[in-house]
Amino acid sequence: MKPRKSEAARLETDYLARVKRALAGRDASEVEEVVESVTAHIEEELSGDLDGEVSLVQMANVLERLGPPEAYMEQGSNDSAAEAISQSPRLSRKAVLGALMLPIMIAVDLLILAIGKAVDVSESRLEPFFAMVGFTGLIGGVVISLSALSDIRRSGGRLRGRSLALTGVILPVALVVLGAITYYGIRPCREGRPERPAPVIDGRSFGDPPE
Amino acid sequence: MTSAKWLSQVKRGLLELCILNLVGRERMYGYQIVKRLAEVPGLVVTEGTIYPLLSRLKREGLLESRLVESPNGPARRTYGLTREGRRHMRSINESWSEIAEAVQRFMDGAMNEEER
Repeated sequence: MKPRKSEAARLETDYLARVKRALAGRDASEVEEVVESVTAHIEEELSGDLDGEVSLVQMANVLERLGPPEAYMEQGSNDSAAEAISQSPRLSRKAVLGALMLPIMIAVDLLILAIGKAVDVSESRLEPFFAMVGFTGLIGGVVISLSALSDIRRSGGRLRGRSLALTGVILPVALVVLGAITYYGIRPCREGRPERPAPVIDGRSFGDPPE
Repeated sequence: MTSAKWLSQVKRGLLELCILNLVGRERMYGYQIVKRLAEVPGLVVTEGTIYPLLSRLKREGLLESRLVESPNGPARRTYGLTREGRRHMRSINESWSEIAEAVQRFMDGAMNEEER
């Protein structure tokens, strides 16, 4: 890379930052590729100049031929993308699914409980099913919602549903924290409570073997 | 529509046509493409705008790019046509020939009217 005078380097940095701003909303790899190409272009243009540090004037000439970064925006857009941007943003399906995952799994748990009662199955036998369904709901909801957040961030305004996706992440985590606090808060109280004595009927303790 | 806007849209379409034809002949790197297009008077207003256009054509699956080591500097990104790009190029070349011919006939007719 040809050495630049400080003011020339500053001008170049500022230009590349404006290019990035002009292409904001596009895929990060695409922006990176354009910036990389423009950087290579500047280097090629300067390689023909005389030796020594690149002056402000030399850099300004190169950047002038490249044109204003704001003009990059129009050329990079295609009709379908422009159409998509002009339309109102679409609600992310993943965000909806992520937020609904936990309520759906709770509903499934209740259904299992109802079926268990109907066919007279003890709750202890249903516990593994409850745990499996609940765990799938929690983890699945968080994973899908995180993926939705990432999609929304990269969509450049074409997708909406950020609050829904955030709910899908926060709600399961809050439930786990609340569950843990409740479990660990109640257990010591139960363990510390004295055992209730067996009721005494006619001088005999309930449950004593008959004489 | 103002004539400037019309011209900008026409140029945009023509630039795409020229890029596909340039890259269709041989693999080229970005700077080479820009310089070749800049040789055509009036086609390229600002050189920098070609890079987002190359990036868009790549996104649409018409071009593919790869980094090639360069003996005098950093690696260069070269562009080539994909199979879809070649199909698209043939199709728009045919359309362009037909349109250009038809438009020329209209323009010749209008010129003759004016002369009379």
